[in-house]
Amino acid sequence: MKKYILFPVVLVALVLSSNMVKAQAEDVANPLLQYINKDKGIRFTAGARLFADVAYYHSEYTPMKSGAALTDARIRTSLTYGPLYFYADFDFSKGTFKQKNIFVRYNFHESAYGIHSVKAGYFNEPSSMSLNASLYNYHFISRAAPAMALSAGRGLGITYKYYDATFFADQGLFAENKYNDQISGFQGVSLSGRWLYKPLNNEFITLHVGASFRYSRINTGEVVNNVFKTNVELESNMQTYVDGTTEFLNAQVPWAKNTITVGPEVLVVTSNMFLRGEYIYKRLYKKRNDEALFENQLGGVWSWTTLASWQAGNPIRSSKFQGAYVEMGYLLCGEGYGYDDEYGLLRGSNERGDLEIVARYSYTDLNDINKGDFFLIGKQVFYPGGVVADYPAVSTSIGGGRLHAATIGVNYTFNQYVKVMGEYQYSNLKNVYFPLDKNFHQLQMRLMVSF
Amino acid sequence: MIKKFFHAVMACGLIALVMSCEDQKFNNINVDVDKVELDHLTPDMIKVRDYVPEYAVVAHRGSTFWTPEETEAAYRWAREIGADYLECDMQVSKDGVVLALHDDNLKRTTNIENVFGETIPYEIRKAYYQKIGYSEAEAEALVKEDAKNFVPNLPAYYTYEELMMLDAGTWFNETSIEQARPSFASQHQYISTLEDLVAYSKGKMLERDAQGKRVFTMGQKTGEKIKSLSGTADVIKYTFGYVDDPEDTGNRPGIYIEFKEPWLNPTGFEEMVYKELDRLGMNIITQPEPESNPFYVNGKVNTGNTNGKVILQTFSLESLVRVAEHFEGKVPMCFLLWKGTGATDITYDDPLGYASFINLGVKYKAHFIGPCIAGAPNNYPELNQPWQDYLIHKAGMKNHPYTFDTYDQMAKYFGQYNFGVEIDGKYRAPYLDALFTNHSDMSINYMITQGWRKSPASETLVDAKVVLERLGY
Repeated sequence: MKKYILFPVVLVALVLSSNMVKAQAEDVANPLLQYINKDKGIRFTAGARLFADVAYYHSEYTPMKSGAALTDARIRTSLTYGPLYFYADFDFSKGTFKQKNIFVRYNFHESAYGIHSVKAGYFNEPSSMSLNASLYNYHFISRAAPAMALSAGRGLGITYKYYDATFFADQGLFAENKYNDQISGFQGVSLSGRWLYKPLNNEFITLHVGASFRYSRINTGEVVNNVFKTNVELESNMQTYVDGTTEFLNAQVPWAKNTITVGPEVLVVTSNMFLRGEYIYKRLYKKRNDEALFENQLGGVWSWTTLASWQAGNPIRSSKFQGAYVEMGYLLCGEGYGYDDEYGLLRGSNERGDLEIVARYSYTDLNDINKGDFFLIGKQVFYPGGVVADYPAVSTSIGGGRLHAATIGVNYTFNQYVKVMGEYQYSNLKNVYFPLDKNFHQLQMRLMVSF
Repeated sequence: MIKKFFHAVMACGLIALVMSCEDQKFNNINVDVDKVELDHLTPDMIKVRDYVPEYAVVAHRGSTFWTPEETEAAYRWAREIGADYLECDMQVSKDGVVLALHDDNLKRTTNIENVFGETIPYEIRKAYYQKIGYSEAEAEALVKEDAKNFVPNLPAYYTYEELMMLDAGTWFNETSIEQARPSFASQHQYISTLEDLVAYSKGKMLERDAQGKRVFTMGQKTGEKIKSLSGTADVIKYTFGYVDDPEDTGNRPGIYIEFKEPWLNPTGFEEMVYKELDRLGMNIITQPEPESNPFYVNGKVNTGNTNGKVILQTFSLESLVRVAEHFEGKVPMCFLLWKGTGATDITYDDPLGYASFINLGVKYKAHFIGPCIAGAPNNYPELNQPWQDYLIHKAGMKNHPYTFDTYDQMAKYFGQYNFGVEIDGKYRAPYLDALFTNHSDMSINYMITQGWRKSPASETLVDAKVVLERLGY
């Protein structure tokens, strides 16, 4: 029966190439359900994972919904056939089907010059360290907010990766929309890459320093009154998933056309300690059809009469946002932390009896507010220079919110298939749309099962 | 070790239990109203706030129900019915006369389409220029310039001499069939000026000639200019004739005047009104009344002889700021609220949004908030719920909602329909401190019968139609 199921997948793999069994992106090293044929170089796995979270929130004005939720429920499958590796997983949590990863990778011969591979399909862009780590192995219940808000997630694309004991380089080309179902316009494109240098990499310690870079060209949007309009939404939850609201950290950036994201990072890991951090800077350059918009508003006694006057009343500028996080952990008992050269990431704590304490500080700034601007929440409008007027010039300020969050947590691993996590987080928010929501407290726990 | 871990989990659970003592599980307005941050009027501002009598009846545009709005008929009627304030909107003619006129388009309340059509009154304008001191050639050039920039039907594009040619009464008979009176057409109803309004409040009426036309003289150009939508023009001094109104029974109401949006009016409009009030003896900053003057004398309204004789008002955020600059909070001022997405509207009327507008009012020296109220026939948005009234008072301001048309509305906002139920004892009826009404007669009668209006104010019920007939309409 298994062979019948495998047959079409194997056929695809055979078409692409041959070679050796190597590497996997699964949460666990040895899934319970696998088929291995060493003679033919085939390894097939099928598995699933489940995250059940419970959280209690305390906010000052806008309530967050405490409770429990199934925050992740995935099934996954993989096939290794020689140098080819195929992987796919799908999420069914919260009652909806979501496409996660589906890709094929070809690993070139391993040599003294390192390992090269090409990967194609739908998967994480090689950008933030945080987003590239599996949440099962992340050491925190959620990823850091700045990474979620500012870095790219999955995309449809192709990458080329090289790594050895000293270097790691992963870069590729991605499309803007995996289903090409944008309202208007053809797809944009992004170039992403992550490059690491490991001055220390031995059995006692690993230190990597590096950076990610991403350029994206936004082409999808919608046509309103015959004017093509693009928009980028940057958002993050409050580093929790039971109430995954993104209203507190949310920046709408109209007319965004070209974006650049830069993210220097560092990671140091020893057998019982790790420290990692990233700084992420994002700049969005804009493009707007002023002539068309100006012409659209002509025709009334209150119309702007010249393009220059319209532009003075509707200024435009690039927007910039930033964030950073530092995460650290200390293993109280267990066999030790590990480093994954293939992905340039900290490994998860998957040994029976691993007990660690972790701490994180993160900073996410989606506020790009001009100095002196006054925000009137009854209208949700910025008044440039603080001058209250009936028809002020449109402010270029964006109040997406600024969050400082400090997290401490305890994680325990029953075995590679079952873990529990507990966290307390204090967050401080500065968001003009939520002036009375300054201090947040949250307690959350998670049970994770992956097999 | 596992045992220690579970101890830690238990500790977290205990912390959660303690934190669960909070009271807010969802956004509850009755809780939120005490959480939002509100600024408060200063003692000096409160003193000015109290220049205005409690439960004052503000005759909205005189009356829009019984008479053509903002005309001599409307204001005389409102004065005689016993309103505490005569309300108007202010705009400015091309030549600098401050008008009591609501619409920014003259079509609805005048016969402009039949008088001027959609073209500049060329010959009339040319003659006007010659009358104020220009040569024929200069007048010709000026009219041509005016014609280039002309936008029909907007008051700012017409001189007051031209506006006086319009009939502001007949339209009412055509649209309010049941309230129509031949005299609204036969006694020419003019577009009023601010000066007219003051005169009516003092017991005057227009002086008319044998043909029933109002008596006035026009001055010459003096070099003083006014810059408005229609361009730059000479300010012309009109001298209007008024006579004692034989039907005046002694009420002396104040005036409640609205600054329309600044883009409709000349640059420096607020300063212009400041000076006009000064000229008309209505500026209490320069000509204060004795503080001992009562609001009522022998059952007659006397607000017009107190420091509360003028209340300023505006929807405009920009006017709010400018009025604060010129009047410095020394004259009672109302910040009007309308819900919508327009330039001056409150868009988000939850406690946070509502408080932000109150704070704007406090910052720019307003003493009152004027929210719109729900209910037929206008069906305005509701901005005067009990919690909103509560917030206004919490800021030390007072509440002047608009516009009352029915008994139901009176009963609702005076709390009669609450049947004594008040949420947590926090929201106390009435949910107002004064009111704008299109039916001053109905509002006054309601307040007398329900015990809200007592001596020394009049306790006599009046009939609107009897008053109209006594006034000759």
